[in-house]
Amino acid sequence: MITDLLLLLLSFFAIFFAVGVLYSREVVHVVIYIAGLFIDLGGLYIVLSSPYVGAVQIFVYGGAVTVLLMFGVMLTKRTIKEKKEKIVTQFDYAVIVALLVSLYVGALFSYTNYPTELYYIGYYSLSNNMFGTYIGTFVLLGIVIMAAVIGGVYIVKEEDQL
Amino acid sequence: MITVYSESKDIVLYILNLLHITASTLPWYVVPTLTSIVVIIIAFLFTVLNTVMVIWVERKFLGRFMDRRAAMHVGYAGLLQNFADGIKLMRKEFIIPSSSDKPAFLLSPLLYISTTLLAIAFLPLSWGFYLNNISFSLILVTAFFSLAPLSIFIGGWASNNKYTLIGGMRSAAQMIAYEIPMILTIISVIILAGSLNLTQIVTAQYKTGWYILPLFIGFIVFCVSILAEVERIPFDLPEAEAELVEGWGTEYGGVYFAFLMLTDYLRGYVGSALAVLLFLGGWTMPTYFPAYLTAFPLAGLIWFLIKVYIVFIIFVWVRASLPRVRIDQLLSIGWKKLLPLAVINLLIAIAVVSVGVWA
Repeated sequence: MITDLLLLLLSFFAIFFAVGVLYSREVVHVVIYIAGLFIDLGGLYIVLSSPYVGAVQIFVYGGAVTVLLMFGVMLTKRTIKEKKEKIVTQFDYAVIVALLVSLYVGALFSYTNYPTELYYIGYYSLSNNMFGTYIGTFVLLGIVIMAAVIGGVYIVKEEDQL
Repeated sequence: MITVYSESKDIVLYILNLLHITASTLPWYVVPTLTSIVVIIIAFLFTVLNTVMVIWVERKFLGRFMDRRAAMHVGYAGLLQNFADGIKLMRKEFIIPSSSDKPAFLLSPLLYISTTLLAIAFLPLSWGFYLNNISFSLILVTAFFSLAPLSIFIGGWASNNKYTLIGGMRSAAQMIAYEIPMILTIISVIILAGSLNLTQIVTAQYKTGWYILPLFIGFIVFCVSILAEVERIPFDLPEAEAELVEGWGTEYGGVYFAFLMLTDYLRGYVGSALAVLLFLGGWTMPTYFPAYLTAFPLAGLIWFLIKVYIVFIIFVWVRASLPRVRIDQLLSIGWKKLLPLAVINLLIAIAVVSVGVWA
């Protein structure tokens, strides 16, 4: 009962923070909303009975990544506040697409069989899964992320610097 | 054995008895909920009282280091001076600067205080004196301890003042830089103890001896990093009063200022408590102590607090002796000295464990 209530509350706040990230007009507010979202996701992990992942989420994303984002924001030009142009210009199409996607995802979720009992995931089972069963996926994910970083650097670099 | 939970349950049952309510007729969740609330109130009051006493210790010792008597008129030896200061600050007007970003300005101290108080919830103080005994409490304490740079940064930015912005950026950079050696030394302790639980780390030290003996370098690195994390004087660049007025907290006045100062000292208290738990054996007493010292209730708690206060007095001593470092010295201490020392300390821990001397 309490788990369901917390789940609903945390999900509501997750959506609130996500919408705040999109609609905020001030870059620093965006970082605050992202920090809230990260900490909220850590809470969701804890409620879904894998508290170790939640603690690491709060530790790494809430503590370190948001401060890095903040430093990134401090390097931007701070004239965005004055501009009042709208991001969303095709609101009606966006609503239709969002409804279709949510219908599809909802149907997908309702036809999947999930385990009804939550089982506790400590760090022993986590490390066994991560470095045992799913080690191939883990390494592949690392390679994909590294490729993304190198690609980002490649795109940002000017032609004559390559 | 006396635990906070059993004592709080006794208190709740006694109060229910006074109100002529029999506990067995109530729904099952009422008594545990009330007990939890009493436990939380006890832990909160204990922590805040300790923080105020830490401030008193700092004032008295700093006064003696400066060859003067510190606060001595309010209460015995100035014990109540901090409460008087707190009441004075609470009665002052709280001004919000008109050009500030109001929601972020009000949110930032709230985040700073609440995340530090959350770290308290996972800090065991004695065998029975803890709020919860989760299996990775050390990770959670450091996690909530490391959420502070964000709130400081938001506060410095939202005040819309060049001093607060510089202070906030310095503070965030310093905390991020000094977290790395701190966490490396914590990892060396985890390797020696083989556990992420603070109670089990203390138990392991009771069996084998304090971890300050094999990890002396680690203890030094940890204490210096904690000094930088809580922004005490050799590392108080973020609020360097000669250059930045009061750093990131310049625009906060009245009750907000009181709570920010209280949280600064709360972080100092948590930092010295962590140093005691990780390196100095926590609340366990030496076996050669006579039984009348070790057996009476709350003995572990008092022994733990004595150690915490000694560590904090060393911090005060450092504050009285050393001048503030420059920003380039700060970075070179962090990256060129503490980080290699922390790595050497990690190697020592691995060597000690693999030889099997300290396990």
